[in-house]
Amino acid sequence: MKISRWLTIPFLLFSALGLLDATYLTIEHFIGVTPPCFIVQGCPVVLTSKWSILFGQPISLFGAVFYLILFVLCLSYLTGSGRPKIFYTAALLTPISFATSAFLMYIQFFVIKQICVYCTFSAIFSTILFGLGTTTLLDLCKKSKSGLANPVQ
Amino acid sequence: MKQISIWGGVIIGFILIIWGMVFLANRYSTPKANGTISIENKIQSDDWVRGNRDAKVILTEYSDFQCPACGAYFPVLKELEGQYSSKIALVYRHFPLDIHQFSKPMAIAAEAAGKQGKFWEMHDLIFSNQGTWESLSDVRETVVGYARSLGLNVDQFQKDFDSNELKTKVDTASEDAISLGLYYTPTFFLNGKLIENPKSLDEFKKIIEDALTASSSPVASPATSTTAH
Repeated sequence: MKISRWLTIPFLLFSALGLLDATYLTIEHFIGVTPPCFIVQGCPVVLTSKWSILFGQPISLFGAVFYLILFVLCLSYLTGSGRPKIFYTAALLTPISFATSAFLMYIQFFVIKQICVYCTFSAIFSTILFGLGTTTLLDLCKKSKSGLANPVQ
Repeated sequence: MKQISIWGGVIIGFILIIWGMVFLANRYSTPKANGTISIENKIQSDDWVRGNRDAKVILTEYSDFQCPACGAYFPVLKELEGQYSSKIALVYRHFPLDIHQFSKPMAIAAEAAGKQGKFWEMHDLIFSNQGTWESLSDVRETVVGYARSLGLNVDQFQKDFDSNELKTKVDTASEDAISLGLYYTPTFFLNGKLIENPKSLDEFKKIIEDALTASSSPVASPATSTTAH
């Protein structure tokens, strides 16, 4: 079964944007500076808080790796043999980043009480990816039920 | 062939973008001296000072013992101290960032050594060995070892290290830095004015020489003493 390009192309785009966003924050962390903030002014506070570190590494590094996995899976599907399983794997991963981003937005709003625009962008990207992934999987379920597709092809 | 071109293009594009990000981070994210933050241009009673306390030029550093950039500035500041010890006052203030596990314990250890008159000796030991202790799971034994090597009363040092008094002092220093609007380390103020972190020893020397010239000039305006925020 072929997955609509209306799902895969935006998925590739937003995973690339998430990758760039998270990579930028990771580079800033290792250089030892914080990026210039715009729209809101909480970037320095959020990015130097204890919530920005996990297992001694910047949380943005984990985000960058995650977005990279989604990007590579999606690009593999689009450029490879077109096996849907590859894209379904990416779609199945999106709830992880969505839940993580939701938690981190909660921390920003209610614990740190400062907003980092780069982190908010990342949350928006992961929400869109979750939406695209869910749509893909729901579509697959519908087609499977109606016998139009074989989910394990 | 088409696949190789796409993947190759993506990888090259990504490398170029990362290179651009590093460039941007170095160029635009380095703290800028925008003149919006200033501190009172005088030495506080609880400040740690090297050089000449009565100097007209005061260089104040807000620093974090575990911050790599602060570690990189440590030899630079030592060099400045050696060269300008009679002409400037070098002030150290704690600003331990939450992202560093041992920043606070190290600041407290320096304060505990300070109670026995050896703040700067401990300060130097901590920074000189930053690469050694930052990867440990606990630094207590390390700082006790430093205290011993400095000839401090180790029992007293441990009592002070565990005391709420010094923890509160470091926490208060950190809160003061945050209330000023600071968010990175090291942050330098020259005569109360925020300066952009110099990129080299020579650049630092030039900034200090300019300040010394301005302070000795008969038409120099008095040092500012504005408190921000």
